[in-house]
Amino acid sequence: MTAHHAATVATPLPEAQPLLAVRDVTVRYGRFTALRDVTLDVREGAFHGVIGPNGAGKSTLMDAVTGSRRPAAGSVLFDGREIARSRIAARRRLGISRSFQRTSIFPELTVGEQLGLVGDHLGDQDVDAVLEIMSLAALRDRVAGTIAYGDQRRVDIALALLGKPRLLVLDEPAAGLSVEETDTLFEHLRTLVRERGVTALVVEHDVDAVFASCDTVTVLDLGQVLRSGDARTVRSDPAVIAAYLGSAA
Amino acid sequence: MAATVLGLFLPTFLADPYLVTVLVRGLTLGLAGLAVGLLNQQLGLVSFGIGAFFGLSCYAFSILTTRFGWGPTAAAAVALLGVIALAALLGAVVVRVKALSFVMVTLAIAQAFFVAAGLAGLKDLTGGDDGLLVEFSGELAGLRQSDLLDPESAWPLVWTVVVVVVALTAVMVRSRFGTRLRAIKQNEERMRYSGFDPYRDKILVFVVSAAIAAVAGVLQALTQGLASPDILGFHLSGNALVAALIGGSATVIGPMVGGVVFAFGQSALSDSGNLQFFVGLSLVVVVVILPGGAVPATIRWTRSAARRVKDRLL
Amino acid sequence: MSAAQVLNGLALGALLTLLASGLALIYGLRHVMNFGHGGNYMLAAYLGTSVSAVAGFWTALVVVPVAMFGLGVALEFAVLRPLAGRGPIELAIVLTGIAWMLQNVIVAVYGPQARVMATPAPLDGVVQIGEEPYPAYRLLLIGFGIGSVLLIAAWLRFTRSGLHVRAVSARPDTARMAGVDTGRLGLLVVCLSTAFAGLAGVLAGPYLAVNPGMGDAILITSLIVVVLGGIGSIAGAVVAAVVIGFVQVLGDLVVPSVAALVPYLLLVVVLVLRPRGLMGRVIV
Repeated sequence: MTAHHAATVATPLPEAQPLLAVRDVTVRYGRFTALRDVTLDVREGAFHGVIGPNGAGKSTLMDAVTGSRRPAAGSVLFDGREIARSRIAARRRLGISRSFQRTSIFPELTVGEQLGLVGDHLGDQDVDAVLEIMSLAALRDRVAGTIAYGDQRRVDIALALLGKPRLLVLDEPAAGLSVEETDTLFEHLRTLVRERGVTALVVEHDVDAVFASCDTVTVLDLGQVLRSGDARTVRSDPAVIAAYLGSAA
Repeated sequence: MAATVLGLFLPTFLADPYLVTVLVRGLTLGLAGLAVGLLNQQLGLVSFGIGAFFGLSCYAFSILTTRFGWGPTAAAAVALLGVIALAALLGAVVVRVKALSFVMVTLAIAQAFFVAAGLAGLKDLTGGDDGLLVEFSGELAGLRQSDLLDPESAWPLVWTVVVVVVALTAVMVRSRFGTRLRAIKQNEERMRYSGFDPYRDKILVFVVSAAIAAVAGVLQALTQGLASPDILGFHLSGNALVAALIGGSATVIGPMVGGVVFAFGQSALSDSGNLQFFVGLSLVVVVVILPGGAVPATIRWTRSAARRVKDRLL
Repeated sequence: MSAAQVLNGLALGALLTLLASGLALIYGLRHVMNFGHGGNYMLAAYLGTSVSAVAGFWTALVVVPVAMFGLGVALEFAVLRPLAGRGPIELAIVLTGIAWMLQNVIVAVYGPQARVMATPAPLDGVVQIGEEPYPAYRLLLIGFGIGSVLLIAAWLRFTRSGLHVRAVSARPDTARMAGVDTGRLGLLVVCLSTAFAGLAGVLAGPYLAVNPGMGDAILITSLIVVVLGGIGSIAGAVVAAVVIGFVQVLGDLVVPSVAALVPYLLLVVVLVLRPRGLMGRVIV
């Protein structure tokens, strides 16, 4: 595993206003508290990873950011604007988009049809560019439900890329992919962040992939932030190693 | 195109007034079936209560003309607009529930109108359980009431209305709005995460479906001259559902064909007193054995049989 | 509201409880809404008139529910198992179709006229509730309503099969992995539900009209009860059944001209304010 990548990160702490600021967010399901006073900054242009064991609250955090779960307390600021109570569609139009762990596409439309539909709605005429980036040009006229799973995963991410979102939230993009597929996908994502100016927030089970690609990493444990900071510091943090990485790191 | 024009002269070809009577009834039911099929095809929802809108517009037209002396054109317009307004209000509530609850809630709404029509306090308006015989003076599209009650002279109007409604529905299904609706049906969550507002679109389809049923309801009042409580309740709603299922809701023509098939079956079986049995049986058979609809299945079967015959001959 | 009116509300609520709890049980376990429930209830009422004409009401009250329990076996093996892979809506349509066929057969056998079932001795008189005389038979109805609720509650709470039903309703996959025999449990729940419809049908005989339209009317009211209570929640169904019973009676007192519409209005109000129903955990 390569660690040198983290060395290219410029600043460990944002001096300017972060693109996404999660402030003391608490989310409850009935009596169970899934997130407790979580605070997190994602600065513009970052490739920010969120890791943590099962039940740490990673998916809940994504839901609170993208809109399917409203926090019981705390605020979510996007570009300085309070969005904790905004609806999903409104957040998407502001520029927060997401991909899904279990791919979420339109199985009976062709790849081209669904990208066209969403692109039109969001005023994005450049569907071809997205097809190109996600290597989907050859599959444009195929019905999405009939193509290979790895390809469907890229359609899912392509849908999230339309309309030039400012924050791309990716829910376990490597789930169900082979090692090679994971590498290719993360290569794609790195390119996106560097060349399209997208900020990415990635929740991922594959710790190696996160440390190899992300410049900032947040570790969640039992609904709370255990550590947050640049990838190299977090990775060598004794608390993180003890609680989560164990001997694997 | 030629077929739709030729259809205007169908009574001349048929040369049997009874067939035209059944056809008018079948196409009216077919429109109600189209209303059911549209909801099913575009949103994946099944309505057990389309009779609410069919019956309401039929009653509204009948009451406005018969009790208040309105002319037929104004009464038809108000009946349609009234149903559209009501459907928008109801739709805002019912499209939020899940598919199975939608079945139950639409059934309950239709039953509520059925009960309302029979209320003693409204008997002066609705005629209670006996229903209301429609009477009006004045003309609709150049036809007087006596012309409209005669199926052969009413036919051109019925046919034109059916063709226009079916064509408009087909255009809507093929439009970008239609694609958006199919996308909602396939993956509503992704639509929301793509910046769409599926709720508004769903209400809109609910309203369009209700409006189609309302057109059928006005046709019912015009051509049958009667508004009776059974068109509001489970009875008509069930028949419309059967028409949609027999014809299949994948096409806009399917439910129309289903309605005509139903009407002919009804006229053949109603004397036996066992119509309800056969309606129930057709529900079971279509859902269990021919999920896409009986008419499409028959067409597929005929085509493949024809191909086999052709292969053998050539 | 007088004592008699309270009791009237409870009597109607009792009948609805018997039907709606059966619907909620099957739905909770198998996600099937039995649109044939009204047909079963109607069949039981007609069978009840036949059996009680020959062997008396009390025999009918035992024999018919047992026979309906048997019908549950047929329903399970002839309809629900073969169509297990189908969606809930397709099943709802099929069960509606079967109920319509059944209704037609019943009318063909018994004729379209309403049938009368005599109120059985010794309940054919009245009892004094305070100052007022009250029909004794309705107290039996209330007793059966309360008894059935207690019975279901005890079964769910204290027996092994009841525990399994709760487990499967809450977490089907987990329960199945833990070795719960969902097949046998499903059969049991379907049979219990049809037996309850049988009980309700016979009990309704001396209380309401036995006629060809009885099944549709009560099915729709029971479905409203189930939606109001929170689809699949048995406790919710019981509460909603009693609420609807009272609302009907209250409506007759306050707004007699539109009382029949009150349950439907209540449904719309609940759907606007609380789409998941009174006690539902999942949004309907």
